[in-house]
Amino acid sequence: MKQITTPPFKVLVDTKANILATTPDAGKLAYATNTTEFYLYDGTNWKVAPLELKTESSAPDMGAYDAGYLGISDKMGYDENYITDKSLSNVRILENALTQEGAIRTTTAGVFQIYLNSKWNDVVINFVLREDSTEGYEYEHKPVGFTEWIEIMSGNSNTKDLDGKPLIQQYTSSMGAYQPDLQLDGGSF
Amino acid sequence: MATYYLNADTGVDSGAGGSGAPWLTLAYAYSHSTGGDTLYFQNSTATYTFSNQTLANRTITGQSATGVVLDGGGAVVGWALQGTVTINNITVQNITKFGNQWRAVLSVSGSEVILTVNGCIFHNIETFRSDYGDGVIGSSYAQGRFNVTINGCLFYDIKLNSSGVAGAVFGFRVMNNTVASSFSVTNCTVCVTAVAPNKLLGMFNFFDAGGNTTLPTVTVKNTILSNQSGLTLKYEGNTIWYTLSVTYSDLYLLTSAPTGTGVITSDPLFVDPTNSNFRLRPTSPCIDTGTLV
Repeated sequence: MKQITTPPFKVLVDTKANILATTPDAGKLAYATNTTEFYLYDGTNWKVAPLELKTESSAPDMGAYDAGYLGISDKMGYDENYITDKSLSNVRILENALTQEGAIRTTTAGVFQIYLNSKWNDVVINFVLREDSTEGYEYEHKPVGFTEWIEIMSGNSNTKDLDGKPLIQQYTSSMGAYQPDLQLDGGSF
Repeated sequence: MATYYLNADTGVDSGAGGSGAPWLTLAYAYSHSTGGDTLYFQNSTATYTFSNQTLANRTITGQSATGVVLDGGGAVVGWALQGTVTINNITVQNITKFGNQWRAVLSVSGSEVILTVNGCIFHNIETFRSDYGDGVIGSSYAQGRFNVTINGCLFYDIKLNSSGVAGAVFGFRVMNNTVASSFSVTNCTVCVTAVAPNKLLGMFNFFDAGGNTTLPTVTVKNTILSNQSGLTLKYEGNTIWYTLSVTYSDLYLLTSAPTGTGVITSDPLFVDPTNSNFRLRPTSPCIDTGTLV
């Protein structure tokens, strides 16, 4: 392990190109003034920290939060940097007053919403819908608690009984291996 | 100076009040403690009961503001504070002051009171008559000097009503002040809803009730005062009886807003005030525009 023991130790501050052009001793730290990135030289390569350093004002924010009394004093999330190709685990989506296309939020009323076409739109949950190309492009859904796909208009399942009749007919199913014939009720003619 | 513990889930009003055997009610804890003691509220799933209580020379500390919630049950209740009182990290909610004109939720009520409130949340509170000391923090009959310091507190869903006289967030009825009193608000967020179209409603109201030879000093700094109602709401109530210094603060949608160094009147751009999120959005004009304190 190589340790820097000679004072004063200083971080190399230069442009990114100039930093990457150097081959210092392992353990050298550098800060790029033009990209606000932080680097460490591991003896072979410059490694960049996947974070961008931001300028912190000596002046605090107005209001109750930046002073730290409520235990929330950091400024993470202030910037609107584009984040891509990341996986998130164990996260929550809470409220959001940002009315820009693509914004998402959950409300205290338990509604999941997405902001599109200049308005908040409710996103249907606990509802599964598909277009089935093997059944004439019919619309099918799978009601909560069901395992079968049901054609919306008829209420019949894709799965058939031994006679080829839908296992579920008009959202009902009979006992046994054979489903009864449906009786049409057309009212008065 | 001992520390005693309370817990709304497991507390019982008996025993020694240690951290492993906490008490349940503030009334019991207060009567079994002495001046200078700290009453420590542990985080609890259940809410604590906020009821009428005299507090003299105590420190009230919550484990965390969001974990320690004192609920008034919509009743007309308040704490009468005497001597030196410090209140840290609690939430007080669900209180109306109508019909109890002589006491604020936190009421300075002694001959010389030093009150410090840090990191607390007050919400769902309705005030009516500030000239009688009917506010969230105020005084009914402050018979002498008071020094009130409020730091880092959040006030929201504060409804100002009127029983013919102004309702205010901070309503003081000042009497017999021969030594200057002080009232300081720093790094607080105060969101108020006027529920009566009454121009007497305001953030502050200090009423000269007689016997005074000096004005109290009111200092507002790094603070957001926001009118959320859409109705006219004044910075001050109908009685303006103090020396004011307001700096580095946002006074949004308030009429008669005073000017001062660093004072703005822009929308503070809270994240989602409708859902009680009063953190600042990235484009808020309040970011980095306070002053070092």
